[in-house]
Amino acid sequence: MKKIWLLGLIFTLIVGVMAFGQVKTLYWNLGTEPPSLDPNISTDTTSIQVEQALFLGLTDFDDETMAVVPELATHWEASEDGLTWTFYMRDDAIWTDGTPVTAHQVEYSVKRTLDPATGSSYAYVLWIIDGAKEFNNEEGGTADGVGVKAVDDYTVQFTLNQPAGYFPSIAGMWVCRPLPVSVVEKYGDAWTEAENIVTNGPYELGEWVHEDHMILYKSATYYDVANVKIDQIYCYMIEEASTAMTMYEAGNLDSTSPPLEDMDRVKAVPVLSKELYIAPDLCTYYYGFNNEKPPFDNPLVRKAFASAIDRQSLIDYVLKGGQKPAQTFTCPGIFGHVDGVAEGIGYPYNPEAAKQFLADAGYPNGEGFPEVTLMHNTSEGHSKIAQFVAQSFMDTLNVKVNIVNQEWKVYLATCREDAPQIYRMGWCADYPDANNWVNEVFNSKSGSNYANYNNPAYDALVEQAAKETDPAVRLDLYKQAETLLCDTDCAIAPIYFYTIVNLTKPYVVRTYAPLGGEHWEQWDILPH
Amino acid sequence: MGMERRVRRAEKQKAPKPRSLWRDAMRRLIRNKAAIVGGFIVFSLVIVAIGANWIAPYGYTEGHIRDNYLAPNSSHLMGCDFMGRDVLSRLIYGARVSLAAAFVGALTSFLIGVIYGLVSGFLGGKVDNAMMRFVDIMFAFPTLLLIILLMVYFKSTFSVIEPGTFRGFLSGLDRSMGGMLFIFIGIGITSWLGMARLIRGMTLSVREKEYMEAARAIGASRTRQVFRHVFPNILGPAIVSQALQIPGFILYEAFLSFIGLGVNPPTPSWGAMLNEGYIGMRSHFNLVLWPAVAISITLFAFNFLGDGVRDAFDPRQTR
Amino acid sequence: MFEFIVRRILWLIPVIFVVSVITFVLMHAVPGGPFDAEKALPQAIIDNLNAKYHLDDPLWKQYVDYMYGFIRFDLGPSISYRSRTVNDILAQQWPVTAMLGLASFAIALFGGIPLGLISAIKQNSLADYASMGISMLGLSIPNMALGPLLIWIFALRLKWFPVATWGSPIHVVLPAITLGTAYMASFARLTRASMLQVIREDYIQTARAKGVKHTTVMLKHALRNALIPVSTIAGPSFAGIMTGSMIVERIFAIPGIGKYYVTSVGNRDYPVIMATTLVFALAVVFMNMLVDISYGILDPRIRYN
Repeated sequence: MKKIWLLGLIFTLIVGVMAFGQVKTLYWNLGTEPPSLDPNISTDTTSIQVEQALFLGLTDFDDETMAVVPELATHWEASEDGLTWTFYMRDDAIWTDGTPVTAHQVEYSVKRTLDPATGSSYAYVLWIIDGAKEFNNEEGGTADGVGVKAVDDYTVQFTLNQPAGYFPSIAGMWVCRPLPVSVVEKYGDAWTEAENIVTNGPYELGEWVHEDHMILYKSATYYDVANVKIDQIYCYMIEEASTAMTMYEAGNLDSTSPPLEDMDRVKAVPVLSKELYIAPDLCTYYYGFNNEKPPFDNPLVRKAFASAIDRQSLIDYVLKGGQKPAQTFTCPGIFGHVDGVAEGIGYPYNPEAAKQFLADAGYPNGEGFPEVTLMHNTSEGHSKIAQFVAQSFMDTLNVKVNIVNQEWKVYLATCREDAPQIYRMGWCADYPDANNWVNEVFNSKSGSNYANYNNPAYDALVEQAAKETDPAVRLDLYKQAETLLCDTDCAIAPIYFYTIVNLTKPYVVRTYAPLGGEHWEQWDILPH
Repeated sequence: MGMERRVRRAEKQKAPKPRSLWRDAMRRLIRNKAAIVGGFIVFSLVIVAIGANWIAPYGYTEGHIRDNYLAPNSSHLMGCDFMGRDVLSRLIYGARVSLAAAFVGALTSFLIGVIYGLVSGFLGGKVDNAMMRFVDIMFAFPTLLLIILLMVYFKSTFSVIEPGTFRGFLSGLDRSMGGMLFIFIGIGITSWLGMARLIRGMTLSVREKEYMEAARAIGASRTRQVFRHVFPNILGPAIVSQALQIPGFILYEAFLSFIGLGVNPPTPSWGAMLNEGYIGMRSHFNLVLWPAVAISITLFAFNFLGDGVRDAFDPRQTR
Repeated sequence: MFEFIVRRILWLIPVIFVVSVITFVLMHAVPGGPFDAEKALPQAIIDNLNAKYHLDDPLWKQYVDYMYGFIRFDLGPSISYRSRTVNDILAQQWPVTAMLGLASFAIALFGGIPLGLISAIKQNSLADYASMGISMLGLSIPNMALGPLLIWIFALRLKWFPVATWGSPIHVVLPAITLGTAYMASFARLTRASMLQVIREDYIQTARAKGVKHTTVMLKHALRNALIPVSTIAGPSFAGIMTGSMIVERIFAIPGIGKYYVTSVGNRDYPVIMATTLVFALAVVFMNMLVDISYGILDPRIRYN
């Protein structure tokens, strides 16, 4: 029986190929082995990229406007008090095993994420759901006490413990995506292996040779399969950008991010320069100051250092990817972003002002200033930036800067326990709202606040903004918060806003997803 | 007393023998053309490394970011790297790191091996047995895996700034050496096994020799025995063994710097330069070519010299 | 012979003990844990994760539990790759490294020995100088320089081989050459040296005096004896090739265990670090045992006791 089925499949495939020409295959580089394809567990961009193709969320993001758009949920509504959110799901979505995608599976997924036994790193983003934190932290909560409920097969309701205007974007995140309950229960941790997995997205997992490659096939059970044009996606897992670049030029890859070292050539060679695409990304690169470590406990010192960084030269000579100099933290494209350059918030490169700030702080021409430690995690790219910035400090302020690098995990531990005077860090958006930035990073209670920034006025502003529903009021609150963070207190020195720097073969018709999770189902490959 | 004096005289008469061994070895070494070439290159490298301040046209951190990836020209013969620093100058300073790894690495592993081997050989019996079993076990420990773990440990635990503590002192010392201290320690810890075995074997055989019996009979102290009798006899084989290991130490440093566990930037190391260069190999081939050439020539020279030294000390084994 | 093998297997017990203790202590001494991430996790979440992987137990208990699993061939879960156990990872990644190692070793052996042989037979000829020059060169170019160079020439310019990745026999060629060249060089040098030594021995001179042809003497009588010293370095060489594959695996994007090890140290994936180190140590001991056995076959004078 199985053989006949297989023969049928092969027949269909052959007919398909004869009818439409060749099978359209996209050759893609994931960059690394996805640590897990379990949506409840993943935290990294690689896994999330693949999950985007395999699992549908209640909502999704539009690549252009970054607005929340329907996916599994056709529409949704919030109660008057903003605490109850109801999502109405489409009834034609089915899993690759033929069973329907239901609201019960959403409920299961949310509770599984929160179950302490699952060990989900991202569970905390769901703590705004009523009873979630208590269950997740084993503070007397139970799975039944979590505010998520399948009202019927295609309606799911969330109860929150505080109003959150950004909740629809949370509801679409991987940690909330419906799961094939019976498969998860049957295989345990191994349910995501190619031979076990059942999915509901535009693509299904055909082959997963660990650490080597992964093949995704167009899923016949996807509700919108008629509009999916690329038949299969062959994913390599090449870690070295230079190797990937070489393969791209040899025609083995359809898209890659060129390494910095090749940027001059990419721009100079006509063929490559036409294939180059640069667009804003949703990340900010910044240098934090430890606000408690002398002499950086003095705002004037911090202002001096923030003003001494020649951001434009850094971009032109080191980064070469058309990045934008940053003076504020939240990046453009995020609700609540403030254009620091236009509004005069934050400190641009100004050597004279920098010297003046340092003199005002009591160190004219750097005299008597102690040696400064600038730390970054070990990486070629960060090292280049650190060397450039340190040189800027030394030239402008006449101070001595020691660059220290630490291996990633150690670096994180150092920053958490007692950050060095100057540390490098980056932040990328999980969802396009400034709450994800100014509140989740620099609230004095945040675990990511390595700067030890502590200003009650700031905390009050960002907490008020989280609860506020009027967009205009929120915008104003975020502007005040950015002004405190990057101007008045100058707790950090934002350096630049990232860009997507990408090479794609001209025959690939594609979109760009700034929030991660490319929409392969919208792409096409032209005959070539 | 009279007895001891006679033994001492006997020792003195014996003394010329090792010296003539040395003279023979030197003579043989000088006749070996390949070794002379190797020795000449090593000697030049040492001069270059010591005199880097005067020889290099620029400092190793000197340069302007404007000049990044500058192609080779009359003022920068090998071009500039990503920071606009002169590649030739960085290569010249980089010789310091490689040679330091070669010599200090050899020295630390030599010291650890000699002490361990001597102790084991002299104490003998159960202690010797246990110590040698430990060496056997450690031979099964994959060296590269151990050195990676060690370097991650050193780099992380000692990268703090804590003036006044031992940790702070070590980390400060390492920083002032551009990250080389822990490379030396890492090489030392992982490369002493062969030396320990060799020294222990030599110690045992020397111990049985007649003049040692004599020395013991007159009650010469153990330390004296070691320094007067054991050392001169084992020095030759030890030098041969270390000379043959030196290319390995240079490779360790390059390996560690290549995977980012070596020197701290901006200290120039050929391994680190190779790593920086090979990423951009397709655009700037000179950045990978020159460090590769430098490291290959150095290894070439040390290999020739090592072969020569071995042949000189042990002429029967013409390999 | 049997007794010899049994003793060698018993020898594994102290090896595993010492190697595991050193690795365990070192990896836990390194600061930072598996759950430190760029977006700092709330302590409650980290507590959940630590509990899940028993990282909240006292260290000695973690060690005992791990070793108890190890002797039952249960290497535990991988912390950073959630859907796979360490057993799965080794089963998938180890064969790749073994394949690469075997290919490199074959190149070293079947390239090195003939090269050394030619050199010895035609001592001081042009062929001798050429092959010894090549060997010296092979010994002096490090992996991280040779790999990119080979890619540059054979993959980019001549397009004979793929740039990177793994999967078909043709993918093995460049990485195997990169990894095997240095060992080929040392095999060639050692073969030459021991050939030259052997042909001075009496029985060879006798055979020659009896009028046996030069080449026959060389191949039939001398080579066999000359291979004995070569076989002694074969074991350590193979072990060196296997453990030395990490750079080659990285440059050629090969899904082997060496690259994996470096990643695991970075991720603090404790079970993977332990398992990889122990398996490598076992492989080294096993290779040395094979060498000792082959030593006996080549040289009947050696007895096992």
